[in-house]
Amino acid sequence: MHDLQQSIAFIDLSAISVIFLFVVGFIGGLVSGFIGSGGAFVLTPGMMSLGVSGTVAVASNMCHKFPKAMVGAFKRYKYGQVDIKLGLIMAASAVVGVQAGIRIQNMVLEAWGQAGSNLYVSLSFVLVLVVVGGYVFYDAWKSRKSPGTDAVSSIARRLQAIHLPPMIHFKRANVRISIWFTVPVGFATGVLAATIAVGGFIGVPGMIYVLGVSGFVASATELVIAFVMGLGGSINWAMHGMVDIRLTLIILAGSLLGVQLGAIGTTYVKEHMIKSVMGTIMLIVAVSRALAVPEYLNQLHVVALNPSTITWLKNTSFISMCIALLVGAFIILGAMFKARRESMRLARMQAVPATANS
Amino acid sequence: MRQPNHPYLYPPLDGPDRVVSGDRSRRLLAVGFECPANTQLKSHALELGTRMGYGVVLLTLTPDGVPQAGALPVTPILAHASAAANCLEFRAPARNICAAVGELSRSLKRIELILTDSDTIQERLSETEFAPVFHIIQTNLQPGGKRMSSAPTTQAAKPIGKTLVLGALTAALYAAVFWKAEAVMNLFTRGGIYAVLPLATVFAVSFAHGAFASNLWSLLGIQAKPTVEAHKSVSAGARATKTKSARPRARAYVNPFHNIDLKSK
Repeated sequence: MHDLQQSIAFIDLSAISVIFLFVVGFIGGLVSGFIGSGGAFVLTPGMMSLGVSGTVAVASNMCHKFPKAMVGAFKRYKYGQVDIKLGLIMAASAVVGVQAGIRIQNMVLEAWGQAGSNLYVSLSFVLVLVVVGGYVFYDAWKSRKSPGTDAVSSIARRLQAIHLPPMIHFKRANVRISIWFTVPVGFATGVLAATIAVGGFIGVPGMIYVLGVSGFVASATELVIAFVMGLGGSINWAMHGMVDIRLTLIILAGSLLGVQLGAIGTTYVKEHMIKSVMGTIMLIVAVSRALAVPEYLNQLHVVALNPSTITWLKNTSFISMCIALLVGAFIILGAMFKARRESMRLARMQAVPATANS
Repeated sequence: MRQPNHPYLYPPLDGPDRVVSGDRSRRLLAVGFECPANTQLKSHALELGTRMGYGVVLLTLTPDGVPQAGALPVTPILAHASAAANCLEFRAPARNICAAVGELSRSLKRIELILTDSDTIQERLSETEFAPVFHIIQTNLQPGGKRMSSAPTTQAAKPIGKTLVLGALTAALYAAVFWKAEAVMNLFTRGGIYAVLPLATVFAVSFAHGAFASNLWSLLGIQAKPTVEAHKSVSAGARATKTKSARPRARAYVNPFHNIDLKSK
């Protein structure tokens, strides 16, 4: 434990860093409240861009994630979108996955040092975001072109048809499926959460495409999973002394505002909007993290790059991450504003005939 | 049509004579408290009933403990409107609102919708499942006029004081951590049992700041879209308590003397 602590360093906070973390926290919270996860995928590289080591970034991020998820889950539970039973079963299997993920992370840190750890986190990011994000984006694009096609995927239908006891009925999700298909999705969620602190990028698509849960319930239930495994992961990281409470609290200040706004936003939009936001953000962040990979390869002496090239790549990576943030916020707030305006227009249309007649 | 009969429901003020035109089976029920503003609710209900071709049932709730004797004054506007609508009027104590509406719903059969101008009444009736409840609100477009509201108008008072208190509490928690950030960092990153410190801190902040954020968005008017604009329901409650009326039994009458030939004697 002490060796691990000696290899990390805590950064000095400037005013710009504080403002940056608060804003990123707010937008990350907004995205989390809307799609159930996603704040961390922006926050981890965001902190790393400020010079925070990958391990501290993941630990501090996870420590801010579980209270944020708790607040978001409570909010969306009030809107009838949370399946607690599904969330707890997924979370229980995800906790095991988190432990496995942390072991892998520690092994990487001890074997290849900080640069190796950063490279591992970035490569995991790129791989998951491209594959899963690409499919989610494709599905959202298909649903948008032909509204009403948010049907249960063929994989989910086939798995639901397999009677492999114990079968579980999830009332709010309106799904009956074997626990043997539920647990692996939860485990994968946990492994990814411990690695890049964004289990939701497996959990939400897993629930939608493997279990057959709707986008609304999947994204809301993900917050329950995020809370349980975030708490478990945070206890583990805090016992290693890796949580930077200053970073955690600054991000939490913004994200608790954002997560509630994002949760409110889900009551205004259609289901494919959640997938659109998720897919779009995942793909842009994948580009951002891909641009950061050569720097870590250079640190490991795998490739030799000019300092100017590394600086250019770092800046471009940072800018593309900011674009991902802004695009996500723009889509969510735009969808909310549009739906709210439409709702008000309908209310006016209903009011005018009544007034004219009276 | 069975006459409403319930210990809590007083008979119609003017009796069946108040039924002016036709026998409209579908009805709307207007429920309001006994007050001058109640006249506007009644006139709106009568006009709406006339336009929709519905019969109108008016239920006036009297304050608890007030004697129920005596007829309600019929204003000119009501007298005029009632000429076109099939109107019945009842009174009941306010505390027995659900029982009274239930009895009306059962006895008059087809109450399609309920109008009210009171938040309290809407709240009470929304708990039951007699008919959809619509809240009418005052509008400035026409003096004294009313219109159907398109969204629930029940709004909690704005929690300004609560928001300020929670904001101050959140600020105090942040100040406590950042005042001696270096010492806090040294203590919080020791690992082991000291892991309790950062976890307890984020829990405390999330409760205070989470509640503050929720209240803040409410104050700014950003709230979730209401999914149910009218409290629609099927009349399951009314059906469940439906009273059975005895069926008329078919009886054969046999003349015991039909075979007796009196002439033969």
